[in-house]
Amino acid sequence: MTETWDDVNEQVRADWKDDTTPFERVYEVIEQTHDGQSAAEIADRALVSEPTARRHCKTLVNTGFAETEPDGQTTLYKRNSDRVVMSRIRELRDEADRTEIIEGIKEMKAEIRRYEDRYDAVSPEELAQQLDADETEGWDDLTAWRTTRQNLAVAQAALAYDEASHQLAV
Amino acid sequence: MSEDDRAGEFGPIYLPTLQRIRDLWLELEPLVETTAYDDVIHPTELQISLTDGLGEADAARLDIQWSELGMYSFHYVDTADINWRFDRHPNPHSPEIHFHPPPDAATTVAEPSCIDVAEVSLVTRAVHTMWRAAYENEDLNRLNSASNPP
Repeated sequence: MTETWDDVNEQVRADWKDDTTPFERVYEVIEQTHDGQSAAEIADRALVSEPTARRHCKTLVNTGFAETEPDGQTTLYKRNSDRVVMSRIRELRDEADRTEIIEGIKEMKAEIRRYEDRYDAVSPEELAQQLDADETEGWDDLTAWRTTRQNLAVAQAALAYDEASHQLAV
Repeated sequence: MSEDDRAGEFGPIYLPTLQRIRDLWLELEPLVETTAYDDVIHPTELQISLTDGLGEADAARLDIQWSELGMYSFHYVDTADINWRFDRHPNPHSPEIHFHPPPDAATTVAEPSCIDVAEVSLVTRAVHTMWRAAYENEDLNRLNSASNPP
């Protein structure tokens, strides 16, 4: 049976701490950090002390998982986006073959053309400027367009990576 | 992408988070049968199928999205056609973090969510914990309930 609890939010914080090490929590928080944050902010989110957060952030910078940006006297930490792209390319090459990727690229290009036509816009950024925050119209397509553009770029990079490794292997 | 109540930036889907959510469900939930992206090459959501559902249902599925901006959607649907959804996104109807209750998870019906944590592991655990309480007690009222009395 599930245990009883007074506040599910408190309960899951306790569970997360019980099931993970401080390093694992800092790793996860960095993975989810797209704009640089201080060690104090990372510590707060990862439920660790600030010195612990700083120490693990430095380790993650050394391994290439995190990167830093300066902010006056403070160092800000965030995920290394190159690392995210490389992992995704590897995952894609494991799960799909060349023919499937080429077919996927064709479909994603067609999907993007449909957004361009529907909104008479050349990019999701241009669509965003047209949309009204009080209306639901178009916002799902904005997310879909941005996601498709990323997936297309990764699929194209995976093909190029394939070609490069093939050439080097000859 | 058919929820139709989003107004404001949701952000692009962030796959490292979907992998993390998948791993956590596999670890926490014995009823998980399969997990997969909706499309291998062009993923837009994570789908987790369960070998049982709430009450009468004998199978269920969770469709999960998470964006670079920390916006999310955990949408449950089962073979008895029960739907509910924990969401975080800007919208014209309710707070950014909200819950679309069963049985329809209708877009126009939303209540404040009892989830106030934001990290992916915490949100995922909260959804899982409440799903478990509802499943084991056969009580849909446990789904968006902060407390779980004995």
